[in-house]
Amino acid sequence: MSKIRLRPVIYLLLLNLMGFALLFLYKTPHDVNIIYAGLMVLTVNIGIYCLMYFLDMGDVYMFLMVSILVSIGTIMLIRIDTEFGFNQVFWFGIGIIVFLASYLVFRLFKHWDKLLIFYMAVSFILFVVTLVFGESRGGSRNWISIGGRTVQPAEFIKILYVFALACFFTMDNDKWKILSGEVWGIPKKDIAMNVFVYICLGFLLLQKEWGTAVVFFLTFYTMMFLYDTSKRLMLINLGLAIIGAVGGYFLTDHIKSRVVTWLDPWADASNKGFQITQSLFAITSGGYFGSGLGNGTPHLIPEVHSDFIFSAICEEMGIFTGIAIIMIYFIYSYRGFKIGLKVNNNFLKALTFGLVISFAFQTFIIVGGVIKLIPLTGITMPFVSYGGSSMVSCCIMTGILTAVSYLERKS
Amino acid sequence: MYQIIADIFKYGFVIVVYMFIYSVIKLIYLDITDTRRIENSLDGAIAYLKTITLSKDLDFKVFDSYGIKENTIIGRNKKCDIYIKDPFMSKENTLIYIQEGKFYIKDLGSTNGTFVNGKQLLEKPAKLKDSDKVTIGNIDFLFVDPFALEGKL
Repeated sequence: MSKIRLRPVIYLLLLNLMGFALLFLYKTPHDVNIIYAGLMVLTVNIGIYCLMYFLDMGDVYMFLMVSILVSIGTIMLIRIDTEFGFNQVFWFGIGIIVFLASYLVFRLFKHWDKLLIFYMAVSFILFVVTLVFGESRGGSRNWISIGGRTVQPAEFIKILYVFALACFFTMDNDKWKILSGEVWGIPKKDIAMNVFVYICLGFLLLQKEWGTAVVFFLTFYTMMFLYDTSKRLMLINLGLAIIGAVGGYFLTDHIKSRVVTWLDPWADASNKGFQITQSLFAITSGGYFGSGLGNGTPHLIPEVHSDFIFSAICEEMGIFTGIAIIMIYFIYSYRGFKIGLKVNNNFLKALTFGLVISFAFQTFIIVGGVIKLIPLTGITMPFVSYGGSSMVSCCIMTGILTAVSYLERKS
Repeated sequence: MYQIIADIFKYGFVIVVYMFIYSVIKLIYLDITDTRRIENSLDGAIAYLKTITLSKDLDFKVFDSYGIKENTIIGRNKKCDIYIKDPFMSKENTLIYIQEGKFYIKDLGSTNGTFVNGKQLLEKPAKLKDSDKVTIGNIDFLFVDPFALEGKL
């Protein structure tokens, strides 16, 4: 391994050393477990990077992006609450195992494009399970508890959903004779895809998961745009989206209050606008370089560990780190699109684009919501927010993308 | 006391994160599989230098092949016909030229020298044949003369 390949690792090492040493000093009484957690994050990141480099497992840059995001996220979470931070380290460990497993499975199994029925069936089963056994939390009925730990199935449905979409977009007309032909100038298979998408959106709206529903819809719409589906269908979808948004605004209290607080959070700053105003205060008080780890007051923001972690990072590490995080997401998405452009297999191309688009939109929606660029909807920030399901599903996604880059390189 | 350390470290965090991003972007930039594999100067070239050394581990950008025209200077200077940012190369390292339809290679008094098939060139120019191995700085090249191949056929 040459010197230049080790340079990112050295910076990663420095960041983790500084962060975890500072946390060790900050938390009184001093907790040695913080050092162990830091060492674990560091060893796992560097170990997997070296493994990927020496075994030539595919694109290493995506994993580098993941490792820096996880490092910053864990440091911030331990600073906010030691318990959350340790849980996150545990979930990152699980995530890495899942990452390697999904990488291997995706690389070895070749018939992903023939499982459309399976993807749809499993998505629906998971949706129904969530509806029946779900627990409400923060207004959304989207959690199920398994053995004491809670899981958010929507995070995993997102991946299955993209798989199903990729199947639809690259569908072979010879194998699906029922779906060949057109109705009103719209191909039948596109209609089938729309039905699937709207059933998924319906389930999500039943769970009141608006944020994820928006991610699902935007992914679908962008994919339609990429694959040049009939213009009529795109217009119909646009119309439906507008009707849905306007109808949601007038019919549900939830969306209405989100939009109102977005337009003017100061009108009701102590109640409905509390979250967003506290977030804005936090970002402003940080300034360019932040207040320093432990010197700020991120506790004032409700839900700071999950949805509002970006504000906490901006407060204590500065807006420069915030911009750096957005750049890191950019590089991640750029690498994803690059893989998608180069790969020859149509199904893998559609799959890569779908995964990266959903990832990018998710990031945009949460970061935009936190800085009051768009109305806030509660979804997680990939790899940074606290949450096992989000971490594991993002690791699965990275594993799949890395496997696609490997398959592309070998072909 | 803690506040002072945290105050100092916050600058460190920002610097380290940006250095990390910079180092990764540089790696992406150097990754040859992502960029044009062949340099533009191949248009109108009469012979080629093919890079043998794996570019994966090099600290600077190297293309898969370089075109050779009538007088080609290889070196670290941007004015050279073939310029490579190899720190082991001199500013003007080597000259490849044609005389009476044959290729000659000449070392331009470089610090680390020019090697043809492992032998260092002294002041005198040497003849260059098809599939000779040329070593300049850190990099091994293979000299390809397509017209020589035609002559054999």
